[in-house]
Amino acid sequence: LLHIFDLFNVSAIYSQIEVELKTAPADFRFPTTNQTRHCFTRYVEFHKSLAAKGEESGACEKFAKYYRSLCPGDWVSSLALQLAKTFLNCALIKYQNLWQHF
Amino acid sequence: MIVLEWLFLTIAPCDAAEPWQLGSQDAATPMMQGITDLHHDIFFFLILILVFVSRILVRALWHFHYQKNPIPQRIVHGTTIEILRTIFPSIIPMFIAIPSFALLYSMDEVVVDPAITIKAIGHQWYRTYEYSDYNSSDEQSLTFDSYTIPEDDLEFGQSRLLEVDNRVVVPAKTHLRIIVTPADVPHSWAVPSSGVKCDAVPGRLNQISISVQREGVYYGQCSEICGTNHAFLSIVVEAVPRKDYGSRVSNQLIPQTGEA
Repeated sequence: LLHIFDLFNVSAIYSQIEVELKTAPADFRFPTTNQTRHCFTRYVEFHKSLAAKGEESGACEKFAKYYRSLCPGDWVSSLALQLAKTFLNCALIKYQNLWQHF
Repeated sequence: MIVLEWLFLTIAPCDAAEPWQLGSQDAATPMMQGITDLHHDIFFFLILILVFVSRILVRALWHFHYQKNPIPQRIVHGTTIEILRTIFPSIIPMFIAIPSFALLYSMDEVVVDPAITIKAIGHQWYRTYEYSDYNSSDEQSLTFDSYTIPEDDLEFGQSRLLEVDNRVVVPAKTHLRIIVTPADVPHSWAVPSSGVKCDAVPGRLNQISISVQREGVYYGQCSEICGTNHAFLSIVVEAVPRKDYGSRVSNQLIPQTGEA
């Protein structure tokens, strides 16, 4: 249904949206059928690169594209939740250590 | 040449299950073509052995019938024949194993990086397909659900329990990576024409690489029992020319993003 009125204003937009066929490359670290660890590793690499280089630098965007290609949307949300919990735990442990000094 | 091509287009390849079908569906990927060729290789030896064994069996029954031949033979040894009947059948599996292993290992080889990743997520009882190569953030993704069209809503000429509302659009002659996973219970993503059957195991991402060689519409069905509506979970892959794929995806991306 949406395609019908797309035809009217889409010709100008076609020239702008270039759909480049590129995706996460085949990783030799994960040669088998099971790619669960591949998705997880790319996610971790993205966050490691963010921690090392910071959010503004565009170098981490590559890893972001890789994990988004590989991981299903639901998995990305639960990974984000897991990451948040891990950060919270680390912060709590640091806080506890500080408190013990008093 | 043009006349021959035109003739080819009037033949409808078998890309879906047909009633009373005996052979496999027509191959659409090199993998399926390899499987079909291996089947022909093995079938040759199969027929050879079948004819040989039945001939011996029938001969033995005929010539040693108790009325024609009341006194049984008392042969207990026959060294030559024993050696021959051991060596000969052990050579035949070698002829079968060589093409079989060649195919098996070539199926696992990923020599070219895939161009597209498509995630096929199985639910009870519909499928979701995600094309996330074009995301610029975590939330945006070309995602759509694919439900099998119920019998009452079928149009004239459509296949029962095979047609879906949203097909998986893929570019032909392109290396694809398909990631199969379920959201709840085990499913299986199977498309016989493409030689694909990949189990969807909860908590696991299974990858398959295919390269569909011809344009067309390919049908498949869920191949792992997943509940009441396991029969109502079909898969339809539509292979389009590569240049048309770009416009199909852009078409669907525009409503998603809301801007150019």
